[in-house]
Amino acid sequence: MRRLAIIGGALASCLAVTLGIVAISGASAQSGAQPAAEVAPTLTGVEQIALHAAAVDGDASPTGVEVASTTEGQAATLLDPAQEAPTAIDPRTNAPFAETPVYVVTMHGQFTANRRHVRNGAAVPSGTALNLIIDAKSGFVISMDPSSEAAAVGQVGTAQRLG
Amino acid sequence: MNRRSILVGLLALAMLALALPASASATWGGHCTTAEHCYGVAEWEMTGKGEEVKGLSSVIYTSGMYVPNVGSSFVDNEQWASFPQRKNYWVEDGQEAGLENCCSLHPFYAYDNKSGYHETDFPWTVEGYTWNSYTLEDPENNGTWCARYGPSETWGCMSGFPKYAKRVEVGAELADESKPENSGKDQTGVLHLNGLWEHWNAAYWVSTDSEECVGGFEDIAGYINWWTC
Repeated sequence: MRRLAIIGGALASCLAVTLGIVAISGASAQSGAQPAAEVAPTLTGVEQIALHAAAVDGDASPTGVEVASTTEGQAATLLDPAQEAPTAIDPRTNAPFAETPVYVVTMHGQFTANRRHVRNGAAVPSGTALNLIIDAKSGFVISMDPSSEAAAVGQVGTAQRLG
Repeated sequence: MNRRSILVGLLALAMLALALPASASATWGGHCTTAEHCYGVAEWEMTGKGEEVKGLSSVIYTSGMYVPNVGSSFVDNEQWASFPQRKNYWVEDGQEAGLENCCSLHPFYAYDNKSGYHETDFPWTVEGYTWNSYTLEDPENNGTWCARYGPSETWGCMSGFPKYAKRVEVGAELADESKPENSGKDQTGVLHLNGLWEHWNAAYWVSTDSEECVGGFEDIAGYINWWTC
């Protein structure tokens, strides 16, 4: 009976999706997919995340991949000096999000950033550099900014070459 | 009917159910991909003399979300403030899925201005089946626009914009090679130059493809439902 129950459960899930009763999940939702458990990435993991982001943006072989460890606020201001450091409170720590430890990664390549938000009618952004901010607690990619300039990650931490 | 027959029948139905979304994806919207996003939105382009706003606020209720291609696609429910008077700069915020799994809703804001494209996706999630409040405004009236969540939590501010927006939009943006599932509704208003929050003066519903539908409710401009159809 257990096997039947498992298959029945799978069927119910499939039908739910097919019929449009689709899953949705928030921080404490009881059903649907839950956010992945937070696992701090190693430097190798950061490199894999960065290369995946580059591949999704059309260049699986970026060059000059560099990383530095810093805070989200410093990284955000590095990527856009006209942006004030985020003032959100990180509910995971109840501390300012600007103080959240992150990796800031930069690389060179030819990037067409299809997986970005744009308003209807606007072109997706592109660039010869891709600058990322990656949450050091979870590996979640906070920012993926294509640009004409690689971020000077050494300005906010000790730069290390990856790859 | 013995147990094996029941199992095979259930399995066949499960496989059929799995196959249906795949067959639908071949004609998803006619043209919708990650390279060509599709939209179901309400829009108000302020073409009248003196028509402009200094803020936009929406409560967004996402009731269905499923993004097939996690990690390379997304669906969001959001609002945009745009500045056609200056190189079509824009700023937006809302909630999205597809980043780490099919359905979890991550809040975000993004913008494009003279400093280029920038996006911040928050690692935490917000609830579905809940009215989540997002506000974009220029509180100091100096071209620095801020993204606010809830009644008072400012998440980020960005300078380099005009003081006033001349186009507002709200709804869904879908970027996936396969047809996602999404539904929700939105109640939105704008901040007039006199400091009062009001309903939109007008709204035009825009659906960029045949499989994203938009409709209104309560007969108020800017109050819309959207759903993949």
